Amino acid sequence: MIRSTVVFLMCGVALFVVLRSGVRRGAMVTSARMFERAMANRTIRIAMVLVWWWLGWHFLVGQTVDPGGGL
Amino acid sequence: MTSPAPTPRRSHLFRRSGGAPARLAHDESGAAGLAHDEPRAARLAHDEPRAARLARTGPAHAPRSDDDARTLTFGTVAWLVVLAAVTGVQLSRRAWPDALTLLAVLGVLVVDLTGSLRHGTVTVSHTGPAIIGAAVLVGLVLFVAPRHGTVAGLAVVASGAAALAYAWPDRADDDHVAADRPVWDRPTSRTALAWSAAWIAACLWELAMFVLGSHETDGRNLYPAASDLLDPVLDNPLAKALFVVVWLAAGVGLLARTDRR
Repeated sequence: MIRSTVVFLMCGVALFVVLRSGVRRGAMVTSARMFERAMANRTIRIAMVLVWWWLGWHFLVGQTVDPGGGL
Repeated sequence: MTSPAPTPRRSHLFRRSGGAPARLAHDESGAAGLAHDEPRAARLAHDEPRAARLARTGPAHAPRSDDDARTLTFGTVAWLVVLAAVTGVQLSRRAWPDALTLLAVLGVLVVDLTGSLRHGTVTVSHTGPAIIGAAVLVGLVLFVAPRHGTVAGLAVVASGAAALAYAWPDRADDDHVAADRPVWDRPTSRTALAWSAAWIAACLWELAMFVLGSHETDGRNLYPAASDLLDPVLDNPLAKALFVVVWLAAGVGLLARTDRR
């Protein structure tokens, strides 16, 4: 339980630190600017919106967890 | 590149505030450049990194065409692979509504890349208040309605359908947007790479936990995926409210990017 929590938090923290450092050094653009550019492509735009929607569906409506040992 | 058809002046709520008018200029070779009027030039003078990037890249700010939307790029293929992978996992979980929805949209995107689908451009005016209002309404419904219930399902389905319908069409060429559109340069690629690396790492861990947890008795406790961690937390009304706010804010943010692209 703790191991998974730590891994997910580390991914988020690492992303935050890398982006903050990169933007400060001018080596990266802000996330907002990157998303603006990426969403010029319809496929990417729809894929992003679909993944966003699925996260809401998965946690609020759909089958969030599965029984173990049954795959 | 052909000259863009003149379009009526319109207003995007999500557009950056203070954006001064700029117009597209075409030189004799047909390459499009940007002719800025005084306020925009003054603004760029205070935005040195962006101004420098504009000077380096120039015509990269040309408005996108319909063909541009169907260009097969690394990012396009990567996102199709992501959708296919998520769909595959949902199929293996026997989460049929999830899998069928993802598969349907994935199929439409693939067909769209062949150029078989007809679609034009739309002019979007004053949509911001409506989107934010709808998000607040959906948020209230989701806060009150129990998880996994019919009402919550209808609210989430309606949100997704509306968001996809809003994001699908190209916007008619807008000189404001064309002038402000960021270029896909090395700093942008590095930012995309950082996001990709973090998400891929998290998703690989999630997949490993899902597979390991599915093959052992009590596997969900021994190898919890993000869903196993969040599911009991979201049974708390305050945690659910926080999740709903974050989820809806992310959706509104994505749609805002849709209008700024």
